[in-house]
Amino acid sequence: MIRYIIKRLLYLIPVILCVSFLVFALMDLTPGSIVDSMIPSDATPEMKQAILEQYDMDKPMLYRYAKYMYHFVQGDLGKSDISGESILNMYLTRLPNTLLLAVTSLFIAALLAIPMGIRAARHAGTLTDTLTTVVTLIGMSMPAFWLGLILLFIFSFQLRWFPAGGNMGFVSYILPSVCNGLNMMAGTTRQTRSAMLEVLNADFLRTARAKGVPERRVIWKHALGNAMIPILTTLGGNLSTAMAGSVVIESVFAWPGVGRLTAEAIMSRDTKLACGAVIMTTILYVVMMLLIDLAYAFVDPRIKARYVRAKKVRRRAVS
Amino acid sequence: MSKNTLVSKQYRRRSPFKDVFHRLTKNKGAVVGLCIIGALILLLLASFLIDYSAVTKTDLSNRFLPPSWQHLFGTDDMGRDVFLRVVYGTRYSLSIGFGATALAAIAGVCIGSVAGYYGGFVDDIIMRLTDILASIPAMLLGMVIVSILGGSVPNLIFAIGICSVQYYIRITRASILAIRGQEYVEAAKVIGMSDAKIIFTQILPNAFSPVIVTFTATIGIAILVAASLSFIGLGVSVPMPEWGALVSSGRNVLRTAPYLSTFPGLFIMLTVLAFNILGDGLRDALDPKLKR
Repeated sequence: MIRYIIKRLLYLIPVILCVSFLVFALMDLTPGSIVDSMIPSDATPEMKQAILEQYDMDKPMLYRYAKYMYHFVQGDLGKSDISGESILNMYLTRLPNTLLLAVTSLFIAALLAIPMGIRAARHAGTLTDTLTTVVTLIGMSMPAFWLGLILLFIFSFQLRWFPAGGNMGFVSYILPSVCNGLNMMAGTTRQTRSAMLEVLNADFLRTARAKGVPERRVIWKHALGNAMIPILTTLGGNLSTAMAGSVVIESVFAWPGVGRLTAEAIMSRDTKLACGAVIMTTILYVVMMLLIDLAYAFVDPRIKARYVRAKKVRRRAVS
Repeated sequence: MSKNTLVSKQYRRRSPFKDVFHRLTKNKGAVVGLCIIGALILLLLASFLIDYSAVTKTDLSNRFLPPSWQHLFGTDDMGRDVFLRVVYGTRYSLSIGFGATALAAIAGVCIGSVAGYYGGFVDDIIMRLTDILASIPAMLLGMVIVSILGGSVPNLIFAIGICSVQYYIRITRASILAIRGQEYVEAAKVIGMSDAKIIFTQILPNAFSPVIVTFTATIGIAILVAASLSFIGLGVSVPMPEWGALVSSGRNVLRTAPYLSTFPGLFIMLTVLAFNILGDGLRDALDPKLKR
């Protein structure tokens, strides 16, 4: 298992290198960079040359990328072109907001989606099932920002229950989490329903019932345990996307998270900040995806057994 | 004796297309989806009767009028009729949704076919590159590309197309891998068909149903991503009545004029919903396991 984790972690290195190169190259190509705007229109060729040299603009892009990555691995992402603050600091102060929001949304989504999906699957073809399908289809089709605005209008402006934006403690988490959670809920419910439908007619459930296992345990342990992999995949995908910053939801609720930081950096042409934020977020995203892959082994003993067996076989081969 | 009397009506062969269509029309949801899409296409055609100046013309004496028979969805901060703007905006969402998905599908199917058919080194390279593309969150990649190219309809199509191309590469490759070893493909090789001809005439037609299902499902996602990009100010810019931009323009006056954001958002939802239920229906209709 540990060997596998190390192998997967090593595999992340080329992925991160390629992604960072791609993002760096794209950002480097952006016309109208901060260096261009620093050159006055009446600059002499020497002045122009001096400014270009100061920012290594006279050297090839590959050189600038190598230099950037050399500093990057040392934790130095440079300073923002606009505010002059350290980019790593800016990112890290915003990150907890995004992470907490992602976790609370996931919690809401799982809490709603799994029981709903199970109910729909157990009563497949009935009115409950149809209603669930309709609700999830609408949930999947609703733009997150629109749902956010509707929630804001009802709960913040009309009922005045929650603040309209920013992070002011616990109450501020509720609306964005509910909005994000409802958005995630739709896909997860559908996935839970179809995964449960696949296992509900399985022989082992009949055996469990014949043994006298209570129905509640049959469904929640025996059936759900076997349907967990696809549900986990959907939830995990949602979590990684939310951790990468739900740009739109953070923008609606004026949430001080990394998604909004990235969007603002891109819009204000703060190339360095945008580049650093996108690369950091991507690293976070791939690491999350890896963790979800590893979580499969904990949920499903069959997958875990595969790792363990591989190890045993290898040991036997060595001895 | 005529052919009709020999084969009872029930067992008469329908063409595969007719067969799928027949099963699709039996699915109530899919019919509703098709009807909404039909209505949207009519709306799109109707929108060509509207002059662009009519949707951008400001009338400051009629600002923030609530919905009425005269202004069905009310008027905005410049006194422009929101209904006209929403109808006019149909073209942006539909063209970006279709364009981006078609671009992704064409590119993805071609690349995925090459990867699946040739295998080996080519496959490895293509799949590793696809993995890299998939490791960047779609919304971020979209934002970066649009910020470089600038926010216009063709640029959005390109950016969103790139974000969704990975799905098509994977799906096409997987279905081709399953078909590659079939006897009829071997037979085609033996009679000396070229690789391209084998891929296009023998393999792809048999690997196409997952692509069609993904196509309808990703149109909805593409429309949502485009609207989101416009909402945060990176997509189609403000004077043009793109739906996401319309929702965004109403957010500052949400307290006093909630209808400005509500109606365009409702249209986005309806459009995406239509494609989603059609996609569900198509998936069921194309699934051989569920036949009859």
